[in-house]
Amino acid sequence: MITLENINKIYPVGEGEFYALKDVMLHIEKGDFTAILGPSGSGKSTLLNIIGCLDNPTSGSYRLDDHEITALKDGEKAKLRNQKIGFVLQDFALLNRETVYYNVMLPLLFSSTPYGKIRKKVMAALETVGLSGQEKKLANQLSGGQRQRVAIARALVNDPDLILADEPTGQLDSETGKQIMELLRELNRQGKTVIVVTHDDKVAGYCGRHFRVIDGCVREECKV
Amino acid sequence: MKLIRKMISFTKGIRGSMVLLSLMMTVSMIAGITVVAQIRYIRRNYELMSHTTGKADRLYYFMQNDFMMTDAKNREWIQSLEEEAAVAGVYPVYTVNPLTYGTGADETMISIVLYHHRLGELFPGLKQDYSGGSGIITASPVFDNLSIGDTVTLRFTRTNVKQNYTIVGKLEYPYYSLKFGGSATVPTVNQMFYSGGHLMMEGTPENLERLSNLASVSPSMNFILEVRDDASNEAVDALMLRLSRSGITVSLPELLETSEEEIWRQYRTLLPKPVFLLVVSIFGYFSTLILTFKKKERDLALCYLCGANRSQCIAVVLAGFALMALIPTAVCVSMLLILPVCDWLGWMTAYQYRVDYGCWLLIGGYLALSAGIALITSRLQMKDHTPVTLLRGVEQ
Repeated sequence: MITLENINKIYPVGEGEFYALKDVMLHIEKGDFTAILGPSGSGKSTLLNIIGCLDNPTSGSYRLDDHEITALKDGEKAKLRNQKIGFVLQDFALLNRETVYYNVMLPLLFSSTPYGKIRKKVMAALETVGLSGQEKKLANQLSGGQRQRVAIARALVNDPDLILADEPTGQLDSETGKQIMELLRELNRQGKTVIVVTHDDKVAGYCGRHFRVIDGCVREECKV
Repeated sequence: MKLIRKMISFTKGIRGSMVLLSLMMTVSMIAGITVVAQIRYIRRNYELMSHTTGKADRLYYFMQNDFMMTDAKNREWIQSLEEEAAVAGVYPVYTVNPLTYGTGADETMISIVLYHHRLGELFPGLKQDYSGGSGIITASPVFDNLSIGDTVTLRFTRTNVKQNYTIVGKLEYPYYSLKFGGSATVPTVNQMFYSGGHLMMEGTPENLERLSNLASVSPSMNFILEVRDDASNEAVDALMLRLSRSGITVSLPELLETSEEEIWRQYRTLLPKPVFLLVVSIFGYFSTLILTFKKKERDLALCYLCGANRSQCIAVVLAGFALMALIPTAVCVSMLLILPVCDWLGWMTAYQYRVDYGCWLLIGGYLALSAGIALITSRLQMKDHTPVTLLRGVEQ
């Protein structure tokens, strides 16, 4: 499903260059539950941004299903992000002044889904994450765990194949974090490809495959 | 529906500044309309000047001081002037009323204005030089549905006599016609013209006499006076001295000159206002846009994350700002729909405003400029950002 070959991400620093990612080779199959591990500043978020079609590599090839992402225009990548990828971020990335319903429906507002079918999809996504009946609440009225569930519902609402989670338990207590990881595992069981970026080995323990990023280089590890 | 939902969401958290900006736009648009309406009014004076020939240096416009003078006294005064050795002719306009046009609920009060044929020669642009005998020229929207050759029935209410008149000419809106009304310390052509609706007829002695038997016929207080070519300078000086005791006398070429000077004086006073308004409102709009954009970066980052492309993000911003333009646009459009009615009724003339297409152009231009600024600002702001830079803000 995901194939990265010789991916480099280089930032100019003064007159020199900084390699955020260096010759990254990565292959993730459909249905994998993958952890990308590494310390802060190692390049794992850069890698996630590239996989999520948010950032362009400086060089190399990235294939997502049948698409060569590096050759796509911004609009085409936006369409892929909308249809194939769901994001779950550490700080939940919700619109706090908006309702749960609006937050979950957001991807559908940028898709071709008819307005009349939006409600059904939003309610189904909320049911999947166990938030039925909470749709009218404002995002800032929810607990951390509930907010992350809303973020997951938003990631699911367009029924994407790939879910990218960047430190999904980073702002949660261990019990809530566990629930969120269980939820992601359940989604993986239902056929979603899930990639989790984390520096926490416990979180990585839920995943079947592990890639460690150190100084921009990526290597696959045996399960922790 | 999706766009409306996004627009509503975009305004959350910035509604206070949006309302302020909206009010600012409303005030500046209203002020702009006022200034443009004033400029259009001054422009009208230019149009009036184009109707006037300034070649006749033996012609004078006389404006009386004594507005309490009765019609009979006024007639005597005009007659006594006509008997002066230096005078070739005195040309007031005569107003005939009361009379009505139409029947029942559609009955409309109207008046006939009688012109000396010499006035038609002096003001050729007004098309008041006609040889229609007792035919009439229409200068009123009441008669817009009638054509030359048609007949109108008028009822003279004092004598209750009905008479038919043939239309021999039509003036198009704004129906400028000579009225010789008003008074001013600086005489301009503006005081000579009137844009209200009435009928016009040639002021032949026969017409004057016939209409005097049916209605009241009043000569205007002000008039054009023509001096003989062969009049001596002493005789002209004596005439001017006599006239100066009763009012202001100004030659037609002088009148055009003072009119033009007055127009430029008004322009010089007025023009800095819209320029100032434009600068202030653009500055306010621009800075509010940037501040608002900064405040909404997080929302845009989330839009990116959820699959919006750059154009869709810009569209969300623009749609949000379009909401801001709704109130000022609604207020100003209503204003522009109401004011022409006031103008048509003659109310605006008193305030020296004139509402026409110029004001609509202003509104259109202002909105186009605002939209242009919003578009450019959004594009420039988005240019500085990629999904990643915006997301960094979210993650922080």
